[in-house]
Amino acid sequence: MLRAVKKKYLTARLLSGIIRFVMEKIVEQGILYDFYGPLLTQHQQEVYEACVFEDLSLAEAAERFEVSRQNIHDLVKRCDKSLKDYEKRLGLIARFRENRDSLESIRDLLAKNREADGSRKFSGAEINGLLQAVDHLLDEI
Amino acid sequence: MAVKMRLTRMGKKKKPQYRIVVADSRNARDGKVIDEVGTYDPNTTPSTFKFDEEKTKKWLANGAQPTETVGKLLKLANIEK
Repeated sequence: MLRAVKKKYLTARLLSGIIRFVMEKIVEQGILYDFYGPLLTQHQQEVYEACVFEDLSLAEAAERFEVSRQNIHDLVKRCDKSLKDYEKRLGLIARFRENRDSLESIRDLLAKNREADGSRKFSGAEINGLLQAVDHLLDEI
Repeated sequence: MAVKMRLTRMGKKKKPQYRIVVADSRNARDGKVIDEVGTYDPNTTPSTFKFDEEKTKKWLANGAQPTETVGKLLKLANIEK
């Protein structure tokens, strides 16, 4: 009974929220590494990739790199801190996300137009939406 | 406890996608995968994950240990041994 109630109220949005909360850390670490990874040392990059991209436990990474678990733990923490600090100072990820959102809105409007018959023209609101998105991208360049 | 069920990152740079794989933890060095049991895509709204339930249950019953992250996904998917 409880399970059925749970299922009924576990909407897609709620489920998405739970997944995001649970998985956020490893995904965020991966994105931070995509942008700022090259700023880490070679050794830091190798260990961080093993822990974040391959999901190795501290013990497994320690065995692979022949160091202690504590060493791996400290290194990952230090890398997390450095990467977050780079993002705080440079904001490349925030800018990337804004630009991606703008491009997606342009794409959505164009796709909407393509779905209609060939004679359809953009409405005033759609043109404004496109112009806003393009202006935003131009400002960011 | 040598066989693990873990995430492995695929996809493009800045557009991550994950596979949920079964691998021998003693061979973590060579990155060899024994089986693929699902996927996780954080790029979609809402984020989506998929498990091959039959394979997943089989591996769990055979003693594969999920990592913390995969364990959480399994819980969300209501998959137990």
